[in-house]
Amino acid sequence: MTDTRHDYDALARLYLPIAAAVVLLVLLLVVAFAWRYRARPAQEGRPSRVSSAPRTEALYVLVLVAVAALLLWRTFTVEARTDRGVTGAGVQVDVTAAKWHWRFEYPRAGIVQRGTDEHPPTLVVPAGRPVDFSLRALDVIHAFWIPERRFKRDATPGYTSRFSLVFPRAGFWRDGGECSEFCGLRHAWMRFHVRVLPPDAFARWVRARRSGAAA
Amino acid sequence: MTAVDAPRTRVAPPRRGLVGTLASTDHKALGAGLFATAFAFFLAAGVLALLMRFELARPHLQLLTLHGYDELFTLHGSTMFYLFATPIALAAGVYLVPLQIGAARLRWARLALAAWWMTIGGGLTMWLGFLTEQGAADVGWYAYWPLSDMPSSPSVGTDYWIVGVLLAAAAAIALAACVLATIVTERAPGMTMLRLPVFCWTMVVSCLMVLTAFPALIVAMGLLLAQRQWGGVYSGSAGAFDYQHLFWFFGHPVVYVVFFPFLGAVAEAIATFSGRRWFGYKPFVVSLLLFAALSMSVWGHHMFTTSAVENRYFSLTSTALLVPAGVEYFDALATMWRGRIRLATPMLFALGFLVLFAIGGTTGIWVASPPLDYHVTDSYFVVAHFHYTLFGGSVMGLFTAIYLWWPKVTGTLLSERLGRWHFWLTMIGMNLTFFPLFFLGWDGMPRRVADYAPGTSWSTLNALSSAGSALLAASVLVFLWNVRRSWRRRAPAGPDPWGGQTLEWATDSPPPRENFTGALPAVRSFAPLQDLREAAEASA
Amino acid sequence: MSGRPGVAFLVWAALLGLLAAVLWAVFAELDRLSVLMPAFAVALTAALALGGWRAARRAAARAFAPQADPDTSWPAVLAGISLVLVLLGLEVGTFLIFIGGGLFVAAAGGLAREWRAERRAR
Repeated sequence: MTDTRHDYDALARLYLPIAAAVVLLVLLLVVAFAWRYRARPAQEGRPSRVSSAPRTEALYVLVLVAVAALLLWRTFTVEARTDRGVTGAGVQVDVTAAKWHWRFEYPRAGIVQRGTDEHPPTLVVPAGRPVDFSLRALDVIHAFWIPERRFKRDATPGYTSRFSLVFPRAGFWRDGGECSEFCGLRHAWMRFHVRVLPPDAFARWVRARRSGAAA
Repeated sequence: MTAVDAPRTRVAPPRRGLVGTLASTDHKALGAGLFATAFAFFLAAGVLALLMRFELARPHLQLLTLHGYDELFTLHGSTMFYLFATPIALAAGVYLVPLQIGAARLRWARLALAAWWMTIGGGLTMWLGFLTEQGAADVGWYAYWPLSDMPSSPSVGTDYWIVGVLLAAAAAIALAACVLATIVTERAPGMTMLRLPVFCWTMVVSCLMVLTAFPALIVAMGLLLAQRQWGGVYSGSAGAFDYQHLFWFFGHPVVYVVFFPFLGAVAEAIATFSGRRWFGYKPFVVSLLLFAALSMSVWGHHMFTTSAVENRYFSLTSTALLVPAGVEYFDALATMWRGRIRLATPMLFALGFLVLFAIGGTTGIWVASPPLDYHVTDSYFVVAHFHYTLFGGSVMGLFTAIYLWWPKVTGTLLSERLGRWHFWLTMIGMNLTFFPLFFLGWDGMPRRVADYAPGTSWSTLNALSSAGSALLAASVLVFLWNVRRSWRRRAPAGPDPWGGQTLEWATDSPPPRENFTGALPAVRSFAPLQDLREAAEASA
Repeated sequence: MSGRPGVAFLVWAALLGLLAAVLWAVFAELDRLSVLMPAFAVALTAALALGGWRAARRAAARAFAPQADPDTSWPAVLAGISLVLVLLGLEVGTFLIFIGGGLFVAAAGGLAREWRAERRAR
């Protein structure tokens, strides 16, 4: 069980400051050097002839390798959680992507949420529990993206990918899900809504849908 | 200091007109022609981008249809990669490599000449799609199968596009072979491989990558064409993944192919305008080779979300790229250290390159992490990332090269004042266009969408980006004005207006037909003219 | 003598233009048009370049004579263009593959002549 957004934020908290620091350092050094070493008309002495510093450079390479190792260690740790795979228990949603809409089937509950090109379906999930997804596409490659969860996965025809997501907070996200792999003319409109219900409300919704109420 | 005999001279030809230039095997005319062809495609692809940005400035469709937008982004990306960036990088090599290595000619020049015409033909074929009934290719520049197969994309424009890509790719392979052959066989006496100028080393690794990676593109496209005509080639998920592997095996190295020569130009500019030779030459050569080798092994990072690749392997090789990149920044800054820096226009663009590519590179390390990539891939974040590396890197490096070598190629000088205007408009325009896209991607806007829902922050961010694109257009117009003005003024440049360090500055501007008349300076290092300068200073 | 290549191209361009106009006006055949129109444009441009530009005419006359200018190679240009036609023929029609193939053979012959002349000169 992993909160993909929490995982993303944890990694971003490491990567973003390092990236920003590197960019600012480069900017600072470029501006500082361009100013400090600018050619002045009445300048004495020559530019430095030193053109190598093997030990400094080797030390610097070790620092770079260490930074890479740190980033990789944290990435691999987080990725192991994110890509752990399905839990096998709880809510199961089978996602089918086809031009240009989504379909969500809940096999254990016997419910189907259908969408059309004009009316996106709503993915309804319980809060705080892992939800197992299976994802497939019927025609071309699509991709299932829930930005709020910081997670996406490709839907490749002929291949079923499986993953597990947790939705910590209840709420409704209009257009909370998108297709993010270009799939033709109406790719921009291939969306779905996301509704996260507290577990008892979710159970009520399942019962209501099973007995034929509207989605 | 011993003089070296000039390469054997040949009889001077009759005066060459435009028609003669079109069929010239003189690498200077050929290189200039290929360069101009590629730059024309840059302008054409830029117009497509401006149309897209105009459309995206506000929600709802204003100018384009959904289908038209798909054609635009397909042709924008394809033109930029196949018809602009790759040919122009190779053109720089075709023109400069013989001069920098003290050679009189390009090896296999007729092959290069045929390749130039194949590039022109391939480009026209690709764009021919716009004239067909169903329009140009609309499947994205990478044309994933099965979207690019007949059922989803029956338009003949897509077939024309594939033919265009095949021609451009074959031409690139031919040109890379010529440049590499020239470096191997035509170096001046005394110029060992470890005395090759920095720019030539960047051409070496670029050509190596073209020769190793572009065949994969030819296979992918050839098979796609066969699939579309006869079927039975790609099938099922294995077919989809195979296509992606083939394509990205080419598709990642190509971004380094179009990057390294301009990194080389930036290195030459920084060295020249700091009055110092490039720092850390040997580590730099090693890092170039490491960079190129790594770049051949990272392609799976384009497929992190497919569940079909070993994400950790590709994350490892992709993150490892920060090591050679870091070495290159160290060498660039160390070259400036204790130098005597002149902020001529080439140097301005080179410094702009350093800053902008840093943003592109660090965001590249970001997307090398699968959990981070799961959110931002196929979103405007990654669009921003690669425009910082491609525009902030390759295009800034291209303008560095143009301003640096314009005097040598034409014998005239570009205006410094207009060059500064060009530079600052580019810096502001580029950042205004592409920085908001990071936030758009973080916020959930996917790529390749002609429209978006109103009433969110996306409208403001898109409007900012489109405003920036107008500034970029203005910056290019300033450059073209500079070119026109300099062409008419013809301020003579002389052989070495900048205080250059490599052999091309030891001959006339423009160089004579056989490149060097009289004796070449002795080659004792990768910066022969700098050696002479420092020896003269020492004895003064 | 120098004016004649230009006239031939001009006539060819006029014929292509007429065909293109008929295709467009009468048959609304856009796909065929998309090949004919650029061909017409290229032919017209070639006509102007060769027929109207005196210096270019003189250079072209010299250039077409084999080995007159060791720095040009029209067979190489033809080789490139014929390969374009061959690949384009995969889409447009087999006739274009044959045309391109034939031109490529001619180009190869020209290249062979150039290489032989170069070897003799060395």
